[in-house]
Amino acid sequence: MIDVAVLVCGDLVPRGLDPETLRAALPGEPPPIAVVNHLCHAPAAATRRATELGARRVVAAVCDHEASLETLAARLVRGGVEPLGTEPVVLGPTLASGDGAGRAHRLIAAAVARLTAAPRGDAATTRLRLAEGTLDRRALLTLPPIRYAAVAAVDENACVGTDRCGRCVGLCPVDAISTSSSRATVSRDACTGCGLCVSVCPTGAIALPGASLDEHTAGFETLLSDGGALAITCRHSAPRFDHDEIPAPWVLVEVPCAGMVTTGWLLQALCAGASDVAVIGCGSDCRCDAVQRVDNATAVARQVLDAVGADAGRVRSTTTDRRDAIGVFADPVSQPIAELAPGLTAGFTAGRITLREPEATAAAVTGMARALGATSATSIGHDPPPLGIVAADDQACTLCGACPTVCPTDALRLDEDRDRSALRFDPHRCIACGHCTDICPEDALTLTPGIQLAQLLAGPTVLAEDEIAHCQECGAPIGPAAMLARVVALLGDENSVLRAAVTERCNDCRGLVGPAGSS
Amino acid sequence: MTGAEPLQLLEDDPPSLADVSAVRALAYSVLARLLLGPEPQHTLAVSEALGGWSDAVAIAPDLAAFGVWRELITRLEVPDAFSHAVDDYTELFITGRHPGCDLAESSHVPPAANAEVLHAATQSLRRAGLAAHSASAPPDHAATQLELLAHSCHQESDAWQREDVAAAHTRLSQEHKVLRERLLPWLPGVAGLVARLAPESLYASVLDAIIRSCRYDADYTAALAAALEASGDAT
Repeated sequence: MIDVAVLVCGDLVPRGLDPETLRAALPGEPPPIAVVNHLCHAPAAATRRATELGARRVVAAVCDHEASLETLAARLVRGGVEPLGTEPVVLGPTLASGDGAGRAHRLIAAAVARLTAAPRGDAATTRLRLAEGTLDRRALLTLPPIRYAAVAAVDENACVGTDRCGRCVGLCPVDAISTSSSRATVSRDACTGCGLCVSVCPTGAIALPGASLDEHTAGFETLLSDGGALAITCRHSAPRFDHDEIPAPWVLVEVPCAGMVTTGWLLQALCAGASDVAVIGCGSDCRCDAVQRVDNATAVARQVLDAVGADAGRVRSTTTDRRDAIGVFADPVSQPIAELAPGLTAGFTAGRITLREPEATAAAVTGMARALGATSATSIGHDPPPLGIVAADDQACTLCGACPTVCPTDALRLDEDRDRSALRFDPHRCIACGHCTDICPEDALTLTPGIQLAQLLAGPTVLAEDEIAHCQECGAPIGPAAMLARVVALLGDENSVLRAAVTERCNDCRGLVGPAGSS
Repeated sequence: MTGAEPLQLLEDDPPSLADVSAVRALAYSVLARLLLGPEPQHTLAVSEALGGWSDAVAIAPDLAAFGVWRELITRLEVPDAFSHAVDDYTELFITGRHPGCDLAESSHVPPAANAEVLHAATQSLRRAGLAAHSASAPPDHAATQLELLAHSCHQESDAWQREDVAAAHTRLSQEHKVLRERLLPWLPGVAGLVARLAPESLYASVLDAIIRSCRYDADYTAALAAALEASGDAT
């Protein structure tokens, strides 16, 4: 078996998609490429070819959205292709416009990269559905047509739990994610595969075939290796507008829902070489109720560009319920930031792009600010904020260690050795959830939501630190001196024996003292 | 991957559900044999079944579980497929050095729940008119539950042939229950551990195939049972 093969509809060849040129244009070791006559309408022929090639996954280059892509995918399963292993790439409209062949090559290369990066087909993320509608009695005696759909699945080992995080639970538009256990769990029956949970998960714990961050990262890296402009659209919206009118150098990639796109995705694309980025959402038709999410992502990205001195107009957005949706491409593309700030893309080449939030936004903002020499006083506020900054009153913080236990991204960390304890904060990982300020027993922490450029540029900091007190019996560490001082204050003068037991002896030696008055 | 759009009927004649059930019965029977151990009577039975199984899975290539079985058959058809099976089986499942690999469900629940699990497993066999056949495969052993599935699939196949949709629906529901309640809650943990301890072993492949096909088949049984209910023929 081979991992990925490319099947090209023969009708695309006279329109400019030459297989040999395509083979030369694909990076690295090119996958097998086969031309199938009338592939769009001859799924049986495609199946035979996939079987001959022994492909687990197939990029199917088809003419238009009128091809029965669902039937094609179903038939390819018969040829040994994984149930969700077919990625159709609609190329007819692209080939009809400027630099058609070049853009088609990049789109196929990106699809190959995505399929190569996709995790192995797994029944946990694949749901079988039978044809909908009432079947007559005769039909019930034969196997109905089968369709496979992607569903999200949570990696229990990576999920930090709904108590600490739970962002996926609140975002899911169909309430498919439950909090019934300490880890998030997805209802396979309810999940629609929109992918919103994938991009909001700060630990990358959610898998969804066709929407994983690894797949999109690989696709972005491939598409942007030669610059260009990137338009991201909802898969359900894609057939609704005229692709012929998308001019070069724009290339269009589909995601399950445009609400997946985050500020970090847009900024990372610009850092990696895109001159402009655009998001095309469903607007009022959005089945995921993600319109506000798209607006937020693009608005914050524009604010960041303004703040670092780059043209905010390079982030564009539109919806397919607008008559002039395609008008978003009418303005000429911008000069790539990489040209304004030589050296920027060096930090965002293949293998260095990250689409996982909050690191995606933090790294891109920091990279752009450094490259463009932005002032470090810039502050960008937005609701909901993509990032946040935690500060501590070091006179009040006792280094009790409560805040790191509730921080979902490990932005707060308590580092202790034998002699010192330190509370460290990484601004690149804070998602402004506020759990730390809620749990702090001393009200020592404050959270400032938003993007604070100075702190991002400064990197990780120590919020509070103190010496460790040691046991007067055996010399073992007891705890931070500030915390013990707080215990002394709480116990007061009347509990001198207990106070001595707690503040002067370790757990092992404490029993030697016993309860107050008994030593 | 692909967006939602109306399904078109494929031009080939679809297989009968009776045939699909018969292939599933054969598959579960072979999988049960594989987990019973590498003794000659089991490996011989598996080897003899491979040819027929290989032909049979070709009838419903649309079903993902059948694709998983195709992969496993290819693995089992390698001439030395069973060459290390005795050593691997003994090390993983017999010596007791790896308690997490135990193939009995009761080993994977708290001691207080042992009796409850055994009772539930025994009841599921009794309802089907079966009993565990040896001490090496108690009622809650994965192999016993796979045999139960094979038995139920046989009966489902008979029901389809009689066009007794209600009986077929009953069997499908029982199969789904066994998959969801008796196997999938704990066997994936065993498969994961075996994959870590002995990734190249026959049993890593076998358990991986069992888990993947059980998940796909749980979807299939649920979806088909729901379709029957929607049609009004299930009762």
